[in-house]
Amino acid sequence: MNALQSVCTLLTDRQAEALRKQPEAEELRLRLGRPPSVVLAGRELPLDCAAVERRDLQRVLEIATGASVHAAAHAMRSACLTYRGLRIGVCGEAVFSGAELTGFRNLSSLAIRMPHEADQSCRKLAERVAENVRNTLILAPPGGGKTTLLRELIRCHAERGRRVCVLDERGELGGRDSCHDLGPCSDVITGLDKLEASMLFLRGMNPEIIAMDEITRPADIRALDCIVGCGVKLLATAHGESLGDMQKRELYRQMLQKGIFIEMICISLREGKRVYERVPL
Amino acid sequence: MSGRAVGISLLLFGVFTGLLRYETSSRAQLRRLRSMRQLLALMEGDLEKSRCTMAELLESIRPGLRDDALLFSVMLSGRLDELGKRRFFELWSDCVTDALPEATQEERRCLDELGHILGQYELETQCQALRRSRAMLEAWIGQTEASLPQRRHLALGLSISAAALCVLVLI
Repeated sequence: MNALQSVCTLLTDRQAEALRKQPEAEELRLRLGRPPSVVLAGRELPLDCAAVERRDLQRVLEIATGASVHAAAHAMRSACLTYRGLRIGVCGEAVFSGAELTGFRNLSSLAIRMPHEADQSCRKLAERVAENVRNTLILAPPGGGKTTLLRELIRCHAERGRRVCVLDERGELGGRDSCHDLGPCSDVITGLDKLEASMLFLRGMNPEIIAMDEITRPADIRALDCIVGCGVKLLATAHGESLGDMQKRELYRQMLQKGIFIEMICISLREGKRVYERVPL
Repeated sequence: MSGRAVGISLLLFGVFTGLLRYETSSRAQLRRLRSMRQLLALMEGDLEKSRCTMAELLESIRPGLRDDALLFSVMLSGRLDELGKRRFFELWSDCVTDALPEATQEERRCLDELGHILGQYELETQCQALRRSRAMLEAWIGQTEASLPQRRHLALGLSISAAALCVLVLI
């Protein structure tokens, strides 16, 4: 089942029919009281169907969580949950039990990210990058294609017989019931934070490369420290547009100062197309 | 005289039989209500503690269930595969109909309303709904339990009267 088909299982027949007319959509957005819309080449276009009702949003959440919204609270705390490799962002009224976020009520909007197969240029780049094994950071703004390139890099390395351990915290790289093929020599841990999963990999899986998506917290930097200190190579992604952006953020500045990464790949969108730039660090 | 006595004793016997059947159905209702109360209590406890998925939750509470609630949980587990094609509350409602065919309208309404909340709302709302439904079941259990001894005494009185009349007629 591809991403489009997976999204359609979450929607009403009418919405699914309208979405199928936009197979290139990168994202589907459902906002209460407005028609669903898709993001295409960075622009948002409304679909030709009725306004989204609250029950439509609840239906998506119910199916995505297997009628277990309470069990997805952990994923919601990290701002999104995953379903068959799709990333679903949730907005609504946050509900707490004590200090702990236990979910959302009165849902107002959902964003369903639809992962795509890597395009030609992404594949070629991944093939070239995978000729050598070195610590590589992929940098792009949200929705820029970081995860797609990371997946492609993992697959290329794994197809060359390198043992790639994948830290798939939210199950969107290739874990759980994802439809993505990460190659023959990849091993995936899902649902654990990066630091804990790194330790498990280092102790038990004898990795050559460890791959992880979205470095966002100080604990993630500690995980990077552990990995490079053990002689294992790294593939990772981070939010930003350029090296200048990274310098502005304390967390990333620290990471750059440590000299963990040898190379950075910046992805930008120009005239609706993704452009990849390799930057030595 | 004897014909009238036979008529009265038959009438009393009929009432006695009716009461007996009513008591049997009340006992079945009590069993059903108690087992469903147990199911809701276990669900609430597990939801709060383990935060597991609905399928895992039904699996984990099964050893603590009996009678109708056990059948209900088995049916619901089996139907969870249909999620996506059908909404959770539809599956839940079907299981109420199939596993609890003798449930009263009120019981069915109470459980159906719960099915609309479970699975799609956040933890606190689900727990509140479970507590609310459990309180309703408790109230019905209390009412049924209270009415049982009265009915039993009435049935006993009627059967003694019927028997006495029969004896008189026979003598």
